[in-house]
Amino acid sequence: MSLPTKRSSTAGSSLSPPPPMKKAKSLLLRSSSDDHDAVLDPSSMPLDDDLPNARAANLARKKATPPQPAKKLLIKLHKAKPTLPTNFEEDTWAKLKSAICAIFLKQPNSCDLEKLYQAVNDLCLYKMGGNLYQRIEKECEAHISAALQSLVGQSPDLVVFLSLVERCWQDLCDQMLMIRGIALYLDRTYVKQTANVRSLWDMGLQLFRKHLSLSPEVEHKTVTGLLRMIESERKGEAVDRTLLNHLLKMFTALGIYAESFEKPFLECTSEFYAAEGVKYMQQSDVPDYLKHVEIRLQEEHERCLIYLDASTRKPLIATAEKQLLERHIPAILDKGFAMLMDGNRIEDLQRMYSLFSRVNALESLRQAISSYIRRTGQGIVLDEEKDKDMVSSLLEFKASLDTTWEESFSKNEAFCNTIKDSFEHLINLRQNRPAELIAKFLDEKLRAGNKGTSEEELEGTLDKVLVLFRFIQVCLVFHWWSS
Amino acid sequence: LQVTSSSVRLVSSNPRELRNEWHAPSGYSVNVATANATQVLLATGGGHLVYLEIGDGILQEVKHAQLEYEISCLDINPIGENPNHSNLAAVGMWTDISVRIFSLPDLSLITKEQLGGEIIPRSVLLCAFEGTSYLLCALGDGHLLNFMLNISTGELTDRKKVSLGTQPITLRTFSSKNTTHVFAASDRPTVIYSSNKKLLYSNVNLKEVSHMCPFNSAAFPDSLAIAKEGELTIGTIDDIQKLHIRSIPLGEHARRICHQEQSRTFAICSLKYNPASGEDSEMHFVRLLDDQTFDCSFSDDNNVYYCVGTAYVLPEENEPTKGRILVFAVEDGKLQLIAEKETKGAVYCLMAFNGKLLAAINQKIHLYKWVLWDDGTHELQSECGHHGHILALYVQTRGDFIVVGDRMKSISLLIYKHEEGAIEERARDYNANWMSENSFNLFTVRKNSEGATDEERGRLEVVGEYHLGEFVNRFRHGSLVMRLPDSDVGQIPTVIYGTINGVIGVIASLPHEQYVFLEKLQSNLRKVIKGVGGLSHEQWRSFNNEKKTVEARNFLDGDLIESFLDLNRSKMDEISKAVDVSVEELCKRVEELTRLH
Repeated sequence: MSLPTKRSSTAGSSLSPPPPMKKAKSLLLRSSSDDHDAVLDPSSMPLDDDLPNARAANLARKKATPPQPAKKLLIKLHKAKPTLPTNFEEDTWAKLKSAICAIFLKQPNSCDLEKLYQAVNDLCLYKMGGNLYQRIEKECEAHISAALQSLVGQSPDLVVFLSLVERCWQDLCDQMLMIRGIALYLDRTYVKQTANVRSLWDMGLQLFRKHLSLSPEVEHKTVTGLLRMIESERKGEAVDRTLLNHLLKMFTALGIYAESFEKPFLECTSEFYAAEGVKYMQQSDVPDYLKHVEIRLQEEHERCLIYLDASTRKPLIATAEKQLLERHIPAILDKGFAMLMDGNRIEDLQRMYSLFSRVNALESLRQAISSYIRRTGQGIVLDEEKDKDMVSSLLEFKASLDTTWEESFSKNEAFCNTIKDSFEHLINLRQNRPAELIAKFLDEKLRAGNKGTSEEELEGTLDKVLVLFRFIQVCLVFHWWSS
Repeated sequence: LQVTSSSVRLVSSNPRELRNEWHAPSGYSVNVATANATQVLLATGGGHLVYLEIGDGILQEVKHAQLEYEISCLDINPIGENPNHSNLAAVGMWTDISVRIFSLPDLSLITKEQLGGEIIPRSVLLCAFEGTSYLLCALGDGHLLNFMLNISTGELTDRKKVSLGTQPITLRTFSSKNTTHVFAASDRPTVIYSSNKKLLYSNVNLKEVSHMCPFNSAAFPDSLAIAKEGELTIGTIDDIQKLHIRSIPLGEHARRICHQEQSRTFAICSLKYNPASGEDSEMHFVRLLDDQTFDCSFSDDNNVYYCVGTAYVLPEENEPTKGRILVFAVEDGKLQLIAEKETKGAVYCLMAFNGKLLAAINQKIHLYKWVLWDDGTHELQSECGHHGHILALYVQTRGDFIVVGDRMKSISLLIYKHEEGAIEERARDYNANWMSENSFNLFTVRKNSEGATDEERGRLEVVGEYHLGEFVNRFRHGSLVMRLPDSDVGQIPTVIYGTINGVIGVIASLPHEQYVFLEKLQSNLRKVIKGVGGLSHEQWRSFNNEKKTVEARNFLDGDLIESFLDLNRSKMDEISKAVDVSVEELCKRVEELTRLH
């Protein structure tokens, strides 16, 4: 095995400039510290443990420098160690407590924000952060409790009540942010360094959640109010969406959105759309009903964008789809499918297809198509009095189905197979007769040659007829006719 | 100059007597103040901003401004032509959380910049590096914003944000080797400087620095005075180092290490030899030490766990037929065993995967899910697996993909199918590369997604080969240095590797143009730099194993390239001519590369 290349350094002549200084990412501080001696002598102090290792790691590239002669720095302390003023903690807390009260009561406070910040800083530096945190928490709890208690028994008007709740919540957010701004050093030192201690913001949320649960009347009334507002919006009334947004964000922030709101909301949604589905199915024709369903689903989607939590979208849409659509699939098909197909209602069928695909009902739709083709085609094939028109009618029917398949049913593969199977079925309903008629039809077209039609049109017609021909299960007819 | 909460005092250094004093109006106290050689700017409560000028033995209040909110920080560091006088003042605000630029002496507002977010600025600094002026603004949560500053107009542009710690930062300038630096004092002290017109950030090997100021004296030139809790330190900035190394004696042989950020712990698997007894016996431990996360987290369970794989090594077995997976939680600083699962083989590798646990056990890959029973206990339950390996030693994942390193059969690429609950193979490398003893080579493979046939798409093709000379036993995504938005190299993905001999290295994925350029540089360096005894670098780096020796491809030797910076000028000129790039440009490009590690 060959040896690795050593980084060789040739002796540079004294006239060459030195190579440029390399730079790296970290700095190493050569330092000494004053513990008890008043005299500092850096060269005699032991270096940090990691210094030799750090140097060794870079020996290959580091340029050696001659050691500096030892120097002394004399620091004289003229005074004894400073002591805290008596009642320092109590006096400082008194200022902070007064400020916190002023914040919660929305009154101006005489003490400067910067001075309050420094006060918190001082307490933390003197290892009083733990006490301070508990005092702040206790003070916040008293005010938060009072704020939520003031909502009990408030306004019977639900919208007014919700506005009061929103105000209470917004005040809490503003107040906790202001308190955190003042006590930021506590939040960034004591809180981060101590296990099982919430940040000031989280502590505020936790207290609000705690006292909200201690006033079940307030929480219940809030949820009821929210559900009522959403029901009103569903009935076409204008509601305050911003209010809904703020309160639902509150539930999310408190961590109670799913249990307190989403669960009853989905239940109400289910009831609402169950009732609406039954009513509209009775009073609407199928195209209008499907249009209504589409609008409703779009509305619920927008609701998730505007004020509901994003996590609600999936179960909400599923609930609406179930009550408006899934349970009514058979009735929709019975009531309106044939009519739409007869009328070549491309747009309505397209809507039906896309809505059905949302609730895994394409199989039902496919079966309906099959039944429709067989029933309608049967009328063409079995009507002996119209034999002379059978082939052209079948061609028209097939063309119409293909258009619907392409434009309304997204060229669905399974549907294509269904159309083929159904056509094969109906064309073989009468033994031999359709085959004879197809053969005659072809004969007439070929005899006519190019009279009255272009060559392209003739080829097109022949292609279409041959599609029908492939459905025939008897092969001897052509031979018979030719002879 | 002395500033107290009630006044500003001008004191003669000799004979130490008060020359003049400015008093704050009654009822107001000075909360924040800053000064330079000739100017003082201070803020009292109620949003009052007061500008004083220092004359010959006199303090003169020049201007007073009333702002709508309180002031949290100030700076009037001179950065223009006059080193003793500033024309601009930087002011950080409470309530609207903005930083503003005022002109001096008239205290006219010329720029207001909303900082966004909800954290108040705690330190603001005007400074200039390499002739470019900046405004640095440090927030109370350890973030630093920097802006380019137009000193004529006060306009702020090119805003960038970087995290320097978790606590409020104090910013001070100092000079080292005749160059301006900024010291950011916080729980993770950092020095900010400029190179090639880019701001760079370097950690300092200190913790919890409260304040710093320059301390320049004849006996201690270019020194710093640094205050920590209960400690005053005077020191100098040493040459910049790449890594800080801290040694912790274990008294045992560490075999595996894992860091869990949530519990702030490291878990170490260690081996202790016991020479006291007659036999050559070993004991194996899992140890918990206190203070590209390696934690293991399961779906539907917000806790984090350490998972340990073991094997029963019996003399009569050619390879282990039994082992266990142990699941530990950290509670009150101790490891608590939560669950254990017996396995039919040695557990060679464990990986958190899709909220589940992926295990390499002898010749098979197992996927376990974490099941919570009604009685509150948890169990690892097998969901699916994949066999077909000789000995699956290494597992790595990304998204739903799984890469398996087999002892004899090189690498295979698997994919986990959620709906089916199955793992199936997508591609494999059909070269017979031993993964347990690889002749100290590195190679890279690529999945051929564009292949015309299934067979082609199922083959991992080798696209890079290189002789490292070290046995790598760990790769991890990550970086040895801070990743910063200013840097061009900040966008280059890097992988850290560790080797049996204790080497730590970095592999970087370079953009194509940079690779081509550096390849050219490398080939010219080979002509100039000769190995000891005339040995060939090209030969040394060739991929070499029992069956073949081929020239290295699609790999570059960063150590060789960086040695360009150690060359003397004449050799630099020689290479510069050969690659047709100036020496300055070459140095710049190679220096940027050194910032990857």
